[in-house]
Amino acid sequence: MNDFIYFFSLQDPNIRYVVIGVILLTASSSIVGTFAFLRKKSLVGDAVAHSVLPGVCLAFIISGTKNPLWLIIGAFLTGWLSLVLIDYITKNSKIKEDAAIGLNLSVFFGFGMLLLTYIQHAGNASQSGLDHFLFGKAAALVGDDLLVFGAVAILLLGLTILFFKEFTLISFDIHFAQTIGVPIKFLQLVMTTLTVLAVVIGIQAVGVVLMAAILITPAAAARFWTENIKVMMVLGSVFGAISGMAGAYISYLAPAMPTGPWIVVSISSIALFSFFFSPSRGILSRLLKQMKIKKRMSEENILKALYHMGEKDKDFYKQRSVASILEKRGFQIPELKQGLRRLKRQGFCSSEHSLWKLTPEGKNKGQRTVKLHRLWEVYLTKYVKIAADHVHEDAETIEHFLTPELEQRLEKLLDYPTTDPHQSTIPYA
Amino acid sequence: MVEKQPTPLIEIHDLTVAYDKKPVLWDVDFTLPEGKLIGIVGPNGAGKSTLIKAIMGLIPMQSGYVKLFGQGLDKVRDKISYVPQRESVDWDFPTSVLDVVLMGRYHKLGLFKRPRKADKEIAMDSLRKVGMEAFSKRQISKLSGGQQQRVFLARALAQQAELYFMDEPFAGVDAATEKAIVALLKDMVSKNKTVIVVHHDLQSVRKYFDWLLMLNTRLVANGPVDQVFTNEFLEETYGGKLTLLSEVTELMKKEELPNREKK
Ligand SMILES: Nc1ncnc2c1ncn2[C@@H]1O[C@H](COP(=O)(O)OP(=O)(O)OP(=O)(O)O)[C@@H](O)[C@H]1O
Ligand SMILES: [Mg+2]
Repeated sequence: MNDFIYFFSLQDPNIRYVVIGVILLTASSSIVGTFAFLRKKSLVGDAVAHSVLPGVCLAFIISGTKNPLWLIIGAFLTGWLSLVLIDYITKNSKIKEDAAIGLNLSVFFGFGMLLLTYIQHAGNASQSGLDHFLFGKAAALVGDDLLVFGAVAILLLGLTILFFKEFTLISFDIHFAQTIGVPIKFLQLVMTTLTVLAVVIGIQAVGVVLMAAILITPAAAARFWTENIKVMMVLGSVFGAISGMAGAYISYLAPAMPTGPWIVVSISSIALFSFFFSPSRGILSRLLKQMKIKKRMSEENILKALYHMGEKDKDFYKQRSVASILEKRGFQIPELKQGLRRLKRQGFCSSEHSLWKLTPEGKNKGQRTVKLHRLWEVYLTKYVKIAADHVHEDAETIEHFLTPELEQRLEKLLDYPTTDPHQSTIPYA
Repeated sequence: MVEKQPTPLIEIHDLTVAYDKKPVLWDVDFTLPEGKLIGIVGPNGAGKSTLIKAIMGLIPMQSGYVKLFGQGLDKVRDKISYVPQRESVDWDFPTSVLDVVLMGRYHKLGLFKRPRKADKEIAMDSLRKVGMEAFSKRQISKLSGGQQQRVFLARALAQQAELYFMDEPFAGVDAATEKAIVALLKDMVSKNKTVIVVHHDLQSVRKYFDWLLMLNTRLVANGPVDQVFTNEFLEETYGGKLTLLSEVTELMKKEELPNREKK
């Protein structure tokens, strides 16, 4: 706990550098990442990240220093060149974009590794700190780095706000943008440049290999919680910042743990959580909804079966055994038993000595389902001209979803028919 | 047959467009008049969408040129509106109906500027015209196909253009809405706007359009509907699907086509 307070009070200048630096990186790259994600260009971030490595190495070889400004310029040049190449290859050959990205990524990265090995053999790699570019060096950020990061972050944010309307338009409907004369080439160039910039500063914290994750994952996570692009952007950068801090804190507690990978673990956890628990788009809420529907359908099917049996015996309130219901309709036994118990709780059935019978409310409900089923069959045969022996399956589903309003319209349209295509009587209340 | 008009609104000269060197439009050459509701028909893959895209500068032409209002496209963009096929965008995008319609105002705003109150009113008005005003705040991912189509139409109306290109605006739209939209388009045409519509339902061609362009890689016919919507041209346009088509045309003949006289 003391550690926690000490860390987040940011008294220690080293901690301060790391935390602020990491937040700047993650928050600004997730803003840029939002557009990359929405334009379905997630892979592009990965390509840029890997392509900056040769630039960094070349800058070091040529300048002989590890001055971050030089390295950033080098990184920027090859990252950008790689994107231009991807674009060129896709436009001028039959190679598809994903293949072009893969091709570029491996060629640039391979070349970068070659240069890195060369530098290491020359004997000054660790001193230069170049190997940090592979996995990041967030824990070693210093004041000078912050100045550069801060400047880039402000630039990214400023340009994004300035071009927000156009970036959104291009991401949604680029052809329309083109027809109204929006300078899409120029704007795409700006977007590309922003992506490269975000990657270039980002890799210093998390490294080449994991960079794409902090570019795209925050946006992907945020998408689960909102339908508004502005909210999505803010939420994404909050997610990014939180995972940045979490990563920094974990590696502060356990210095053997590198910051970058922990940032990625944190953001991935947030994304995973969103994937499962988002109320509108999450897996869990979808499963719950499906389960509810399934329960309702089997309840209605049980009532319908009891109604059918009543119809046959001309006695709707006769007591019936589970076995006799199963004979009428092939339920799963647990499905049937649980359904009957739920129906009893809801007041649609009653039971005595494990014999079941409908209550008047239950009979009405079963009757309505039967009526909807038969009305729908009539509709299909009469209006959609589907053969009578093909309509049953369809009606089995529709009967559970017709609203009272549709029911009324159906009755009127068909003029209250008395029998369905199989000559069963349609019961009206 | 190709009708030449004295003052063409649109002049397409010798247009050839190819994908991967395979021409999908071949030496297409025609002019279209102003203030008409113009249909483009042809089988799937005939190059209808390609023609519109080429006119709108979205795909390069191999040869030929396009003149609109007697000028090159760049000079007259403000007067032209394009409604793409609905499937051309991903509707699972985090934005609202009103925001999409407001995109129709961007060309008047220019870079950096936010939509003003007046733009919002125009957008709402356009939504009203397509019967979607109740949906203005709805997220676009929660629209049905026909509703998406109407949002695209509203965006085009918000552009307040002189010339409209619409690629299958009735796809997935219910009959009542289609009727309302056609009435809207006819009203626009009566105010001397020109509306060009890619259309698939041959039965309604006579009812909807004043002028017809029949396309199948090459231009088959171009002229007033009465003159070019004939069995002969239909067979030429639809080639392989002859049997089905002559059935449809037979049907239309039998129905005596009261719209023909109405015009
Ligand atoms: N991007 C593309 N790359 C390669 N070929 C294409 C491309 N787009 C269209 N084509 C081809 O060009 C031809 C014309 O396509 P187009 O979309 O213009 O047809 P269409 O008349 O609009 O058809 P539909 O009625 O199906 O909309 C088709 O044969 C199609 O396969
Ligand atoms: Mg088309």
